[in-house]
Order: sequence, then structure tokens, then C-alpha cells
Amino acid sequence: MSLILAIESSCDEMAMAVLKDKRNFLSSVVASQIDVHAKYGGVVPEIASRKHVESVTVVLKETLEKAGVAMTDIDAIAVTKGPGLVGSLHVGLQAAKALALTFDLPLIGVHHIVGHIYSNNIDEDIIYPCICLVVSGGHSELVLMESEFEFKIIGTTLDDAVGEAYDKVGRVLDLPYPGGPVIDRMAAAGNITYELPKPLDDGSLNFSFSGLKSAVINLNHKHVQKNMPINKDDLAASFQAVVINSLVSKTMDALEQYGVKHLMLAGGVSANRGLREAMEQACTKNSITLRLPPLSLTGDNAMMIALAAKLMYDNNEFSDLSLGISPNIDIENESRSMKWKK
Amino acid sequence: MKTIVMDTANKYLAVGLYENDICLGKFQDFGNRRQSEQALEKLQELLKSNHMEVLDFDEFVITIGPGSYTGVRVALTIAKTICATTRIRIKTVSTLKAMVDDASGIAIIDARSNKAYLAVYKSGETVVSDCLVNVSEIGDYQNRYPELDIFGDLGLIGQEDKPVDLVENIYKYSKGEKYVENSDNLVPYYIKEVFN
Ligand SMILES: [Zn+2]
Repeated sequence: MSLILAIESSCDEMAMAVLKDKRNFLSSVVASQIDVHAKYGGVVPEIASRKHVESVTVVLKETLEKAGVAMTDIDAIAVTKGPGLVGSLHVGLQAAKALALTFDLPLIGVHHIVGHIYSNNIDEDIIYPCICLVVSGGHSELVLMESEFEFKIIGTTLDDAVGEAYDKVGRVLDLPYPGGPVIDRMAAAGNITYELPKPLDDGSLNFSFSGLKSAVINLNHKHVQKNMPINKDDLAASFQAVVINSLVSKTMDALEQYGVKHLMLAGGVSANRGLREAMEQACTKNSITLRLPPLSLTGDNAMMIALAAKLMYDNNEFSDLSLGISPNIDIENESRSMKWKK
Repeated sequence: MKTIVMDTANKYLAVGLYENDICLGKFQDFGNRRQSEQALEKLQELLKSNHMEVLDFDEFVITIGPGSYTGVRVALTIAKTICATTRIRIKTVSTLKAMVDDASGIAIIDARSNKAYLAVYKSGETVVSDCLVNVSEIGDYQNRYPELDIFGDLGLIGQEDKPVDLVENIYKYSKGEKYVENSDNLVPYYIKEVFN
């Protein structure tokens, strides 16, 4: 029996959750700042940090209250140590360390992407070997996992993350921030009518979205210059089709190359309905088992941090109070550095 | 009455423990921007060497700013979190005042881009409250208050920094401060907006 309090503050949400044992969540609270950053068309790091300081103890109290537990009931504190925005990470980390010291609890530093991946552990144990496609505002990676907490990056973006490309296209089309979900909705209503370049068709498992993004921006610009109307739904559909096609085909290539039969999606863009549907179809066709995280766990949240932390807790993978933030830690190092993996 | 003192707002990391006005132990060093990693470690060391724990304490005294944005948030987040989950209460002291001995003097802190945070204190009274000035204006304040010494980031005016006992100053000045009423609402005193 264990109770883990998890804290996630790597970007613009302050989130906390209480996990009982393996997957029984007593509470999960997410304080989103999306309205604040929408005005600026993207996350402003200093504003995110300031908002985190405002909300940190409010979220903490609400999380404990909803769970019906006191700090003295908690067995361990888990916290996102990175990657993420430096100032944002600091707030969650200080709160976690302060609680660990005050209540004499083990501290568990969790890699943010490991959290995203382990959001797929929510209903039942992940089956290995598997491949996880991590897609978010900051990530587009194919991660091979031979076993628990063994991460190997087999494909990555050479420029923009997929979520970043969505946000930039959203801005050009004057869509509200964040652009991703809006483009997904528009794409469902539109038709593929605009011709856009296929990104990085080089047989590798890497992605590239900046050329595609520029092509959309140029296309839109030309139409504006010539005073020609552009059908935004159709442009969204055309853009999304190319993105999804690239993600699906590279993922299928990866599964084939590594002889893996289990696939998972993770990260904010894994909420994209077009992507989920296309991946489901491709997996059925290729006899691959697909695991999709619940929509509530695709964006940043503390439940995913708790799910990953539980595995670390069971293996006594703890940090002392010298734990610092690591804005750029790489996920492969993460498995190698684990004491229980040695 | 047992007190924890912590300042992470500027180039120093300062942590101290008091019991009924007696200092049980203190630590002050250049933080080198590692205040975040070290603040709680140093507090833990001080507690251990005194065979005490956080829950033994009654109050947490921190600096509220102005200073480094990330730095000032470190001690503040620690204090808020502890206060939210225990009976411990918070007092705050201006980062500028913490630099000044005997509550008399001009305090300056580097605010980058040729600006400085500045305040003036005279025999315990605040004559000029915490504000943001151009580095070139510091001389005007020195001319206006020739009887007062200058403290803080003296490198800004081409002088060498003077030794300062931050823990002692912060503890001393906290005596004149009230407890923070709703610590959930406590935020740093940044002075500068994110966008000016
Ligand atoms: Zn994320």
C-alpha cells in the first residue's frame, strides 16, 4: 500500500495528484493558465512562473482535500524534474522538496516524457517490447522500450515539434491559441484540396515539420497578396493530412524495423482525433495492438507523473534534497542512470 | 519561539535557525544561481546538526524581493508550501532592507539592463520605498543623503561589496513585521512587470 503525491509544473499548468497503490487515483487537480497565455499566442515563461507561485498552495490544498488525505498519510513525493521551462519547473520542485523535508518523505524526480509515456499505464500494465510515439508542443519522438524504464530514441524531429508546427500554422490562420485542437476540428470539416510538400521522405525514422509549416505560411501569404480567398478548413485538412501521414508511416516503419507489435501514443498531440483514427486504422491493418491514453491524460497532468513515480517508488529510486531541475535531460540517460537498472 | 530564516533572492543563499532570539546556526554563501538546489539541503543540514525538524518551528522568515525572479520564488515557494501544510506562519522582509545594517542606509541591488532596485532607510524609517532606478541615478540619492552609507551590489557604482550578515538582518527586521494573513496569496515583490 502506498500513497504518492505527484507535482507537475513544467510548462503552463500547475498540476497535482494523489495516487493510491498502482492506479487508484484519489484526486487530480490541474490549474491551467491557457487563458492568460492565449493573449500572447503562446506560453510566456515568466508569466507561467508567476502564476505557478500564485497557485501552488491552492492546488496542493485542493488535491489533498479532494483525496481526503493529510500530508501525514502520504508515503512519497513525486515531481517533474524536467525537461520544461526553468522558472516553471523550479516552483514545483521547491514545493516537492519542502514537503519531502517537512514530512520526512522519499523524493522521486520524474522525467516529464517518461510521465507522458507511462500515462498509458493507467488501466493496465504496458506490454513490452513496445514503441511509443510522443507528440506534443515540445516533442516528436519515437521511443523504443524493450522493458520497463528502458528508453531508446529511434526517431526524432530535426526541427519543429509537431505541436509547435500546429501552433504556428494556427497563428498564421488567425486561429485562437492553442491552434492544435482548432485545426483538428477544422480539418474534420474540410477537404484535402491544397497541395503541400511531404516532409522528410528519406526512409529514416526522423521527422521534420518546419518545411511543411513554411509551405502553409507561404500558401496563405500568396492568397492574401492576390486577394484570393483561402478556405481555412480545407487548408487545415490538407496540412493535417500531411502531418498525420508522416507520423503514421514513420511509426509503422519503426514497428516493422524493430519487429514490435505494441504501439502507444503519448503527449498533447495524441489528443488529435485525426491522428488517433488514422493510427487505429493503420494498426488494425498491420495487426498492431494500439494503446491510446485517455484524452484527460494527453495534456500535462500530475497523474502521469504519479504513474511513472509508482514504478520508481517500488524500486526505491529516490533522490535526496540536492535534486535540481534538468531542463534538457535526455530520456535515454534516464534509464541508464536508474540505480535499479544497474 | 523558533524561527527559520531564508533568503534566496539575490546572489547569496542565506539560511538560519533561531530559538528565542538566539541563533542556533546559520549559513551564508554566494548562491551562484544554485540557490534552488541548495536552499533545502542547507536547511536540512542546519536542522540535523541541531537535532531539530521543520515541524518544531513556529515561523518562517523570508525575503519578498525585489531581486532575481527565479531566486525570490525559491524561498517564497518553500515557505508557502510549508505554511500551507503545518501551523508555521510566515513573515517577509524586503530584500533591500536585508542588505542594510542598523536600518540606516541606501540599499541597491542589480536589476540588470543598467537598472537597480533601490531603497533608503534612516534610523529604522523607510525614507524611499523599494523602487527601480537607472544606475546613473544612484549618485543623486547619495548626494541627497550624504550622511547615509550605501549597501548591496556596490559593484554597480564601482565599489567593492561590504560583508553583510543577511540572516541576522532579516531576523532582526522581521520583528517589526506582521504575519502574512493569507499565505496562499503571497507573491514576490517583483517591482518590474513582465512587459513594460
Ligand atoms: Zn508535456
